Amino acid sequence: MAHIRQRLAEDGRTAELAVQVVYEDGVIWLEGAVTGEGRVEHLLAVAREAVPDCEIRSRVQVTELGAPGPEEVL
Amino acid sequence: MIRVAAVGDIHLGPELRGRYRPRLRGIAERADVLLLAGDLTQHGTEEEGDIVAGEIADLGLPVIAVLGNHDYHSDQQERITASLREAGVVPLEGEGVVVDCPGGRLGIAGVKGFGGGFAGRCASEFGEPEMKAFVRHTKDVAAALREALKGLDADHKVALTHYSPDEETLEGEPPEIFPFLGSYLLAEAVDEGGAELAVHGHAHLGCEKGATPGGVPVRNVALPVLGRAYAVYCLGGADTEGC
Repeated sequence: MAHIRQRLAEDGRTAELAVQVVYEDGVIWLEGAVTGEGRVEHLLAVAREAVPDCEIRSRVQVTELGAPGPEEVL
Repeated sequence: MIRVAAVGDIHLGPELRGRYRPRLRGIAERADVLLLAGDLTQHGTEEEGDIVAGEIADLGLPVIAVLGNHDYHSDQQERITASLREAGVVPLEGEGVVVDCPGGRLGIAGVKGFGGGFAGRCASEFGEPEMKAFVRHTKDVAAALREALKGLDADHKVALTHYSPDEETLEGEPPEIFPFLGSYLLAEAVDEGGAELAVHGHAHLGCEKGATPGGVPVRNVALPVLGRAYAVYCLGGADTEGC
């Protein structure tokens, strides 16, 4: 798990430091948020290269660039 | 009243070219200044820096930025800084700038910041040279932030960093990595420098709102935290013209 997370941070295709790696019932899940759909595919590819014999799935969310919300008065 | 728009961690790259700028449409009517809290690129390449510059150029309001750790990854931080400057952005690293706004003079002091942790669970300048260098860097950038804030001649002051000055806004992140997400030394600089607001990014899994030990509001404006293109904070009280 630690090696997968390190690869996701250091591999040039991903450079994702905020993605969590979780093991549940024989499946390795990637969790977190990224800013584009293509980045989820890169995450899965890099993780599967790191541990080719394990099942890896994604719960990574793609951050929507929503409209600005209401102002906050401080 | 001064309206401060802020966002960090936009992590732009070729696949996002042209997708962020439409979300900034109309920002000049909603805010007096836009602060960018670092991690503007994904890999810190020259190409990504140019993409960022293209997305935020000519927005019709002053744009002030600090870089984040991603922007340093390819050792192209100086080139990225130059691209931002060419696009009209004011990049800060241990410096301050004063912006004349309709509601008064807004001073912004900015540093990338660094890690080290928070009270009771932080690294010390002790032991191996590598550890001492790590902590010394945080001390240096915190001191630079403090001095930059103190040097501002402004009606209102804001501290702009990438790393967090506050562990409250890290809630949601694994506590084990807090020392890599920020430092209490940045909060001390915010308090001693007289800031009214501290804005940071970096903690994608954190939460938006916190405060320094001195009671200064801290806002984590990382894009995944905000879930919107940017946030707007109003300093100097509400009025009927804006907030």
